[in-house]
Amino acid sequence: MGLNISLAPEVIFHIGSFPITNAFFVSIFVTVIVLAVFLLIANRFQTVPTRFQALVEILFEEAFDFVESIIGNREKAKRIFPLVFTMFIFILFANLLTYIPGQAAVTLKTEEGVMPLFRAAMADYGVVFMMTMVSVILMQIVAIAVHGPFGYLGKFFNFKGPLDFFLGLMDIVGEIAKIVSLSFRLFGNIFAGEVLGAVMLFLAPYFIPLPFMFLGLLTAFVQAFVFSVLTLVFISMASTIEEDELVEEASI
Amino acid sequence: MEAEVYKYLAAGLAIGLGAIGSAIGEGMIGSKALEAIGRNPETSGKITPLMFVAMAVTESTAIYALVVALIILFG
Amino acid sequence: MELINALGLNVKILLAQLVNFSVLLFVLYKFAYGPILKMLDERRDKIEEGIKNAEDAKTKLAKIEMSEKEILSDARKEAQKIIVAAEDVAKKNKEDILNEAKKQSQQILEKAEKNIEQEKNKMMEDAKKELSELVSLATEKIVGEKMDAKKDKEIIDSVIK
Repeated sequence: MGLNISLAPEVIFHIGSFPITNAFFVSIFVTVIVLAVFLLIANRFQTVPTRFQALVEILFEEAFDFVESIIGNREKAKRIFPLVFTMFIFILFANLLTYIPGQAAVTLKTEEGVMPLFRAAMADYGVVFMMTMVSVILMQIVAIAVHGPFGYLGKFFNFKGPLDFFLGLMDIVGEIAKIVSLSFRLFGNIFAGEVLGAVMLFLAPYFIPLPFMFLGLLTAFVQAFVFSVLTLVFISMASTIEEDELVEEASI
Repeated sequence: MEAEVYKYLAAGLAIGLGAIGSAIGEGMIGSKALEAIGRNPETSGKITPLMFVAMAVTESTAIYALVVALIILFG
Repeated sequence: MELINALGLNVKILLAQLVNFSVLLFVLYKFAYGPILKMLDERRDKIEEGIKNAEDAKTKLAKIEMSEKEILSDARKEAQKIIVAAEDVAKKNKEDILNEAKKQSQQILEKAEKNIEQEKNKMMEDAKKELSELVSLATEKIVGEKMDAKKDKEIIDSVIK
């Protein structure tokens, strides 16, 4: 079979005992590109905008307004915006990089065989898992900061009744399920897109894969959007104090 | 050899059957969102992102199926 | 656990990815988002100020227009009043003058009539006197001798009457 599908990223070389996978290589590559683009934009910013600057500004403004509309507060939005927007941009650039033609043909010959130098960064579970952990841990930190350590633990270990206790335990499961669903959603979509593209290319090299590539472009954007928005929504959920909690506090 | 075959079969069934629910769900979300936009075109800017988020949440089921399939295949 | 291997998870690479992402976040936060958002905020403030100024100017203009209209309508009313008053005064004056003139003409007429009456009376008396003298003279001549003046007078008077 000519298909070459691997769930894990391939190790392309070692620095000392540190293995460099192609996904890691690509994510550094993407980081450099994003940094270059944004620093260039930021440095050239003027009060009277050029056409390109106006475009970037619209992107920023819309993104910021969107963040504000979800989190409902300008100050909070200013705090959370950098993280969410960086996630969005990083994922988007990493996803779009796979659509640059010709890069899939760049291969590297190692002792373990021939392997591609570029791999969709988000088709490596490591990167996605890292970002998911960042957002999930941040959620817990925000929740602890807002509710206090005892309020936070009280949500999971509730001894008011058997049903409340059970629901508290289910909340723990929910937090873990967040990690799985958030990370595997992005990873699964991109990985499946890659596999689909590879299979289509394998079956019919010309024209037939094109619609799937369009679909892939849409997925690239939508998944970046969904990942960052879900992070945003979870954090805003963690940062709001529910009403019955307020009542409880007032009664104490 | 026999066990290997069942493994592949199980993985295919897991993701295939698991995807049915979320596929139907996503279709309903999409159709309802489009209906809403058709009824009230000015709100499309607000509905579209919400639609994507709702779709992402609905997709979770299929994602769990994918995880299970991967576990069966590689675990 | 085999799944973790199959997915290629590796603690070293995870940490490296985390560092990579943190660097990206930090540099962007420091050098891109800060300046861009600040500039957008500044511009937003400026635009809001401009819009506010424009609105202020608009309301001011509307106010001025309103007061202008008010003044104009006031002036018009005033003018109308003045005109009406002037007309009234003129009418009154006209009537007064007319009345006066009528009165005066009446007076003049009356005076003239009185004068005429007086003159007539006087003339009549004069005529009577003269006539009586004339008659006495004529009679004297005719009679040839002077009668008793007293008797004469009596006769004449009785004749004239």
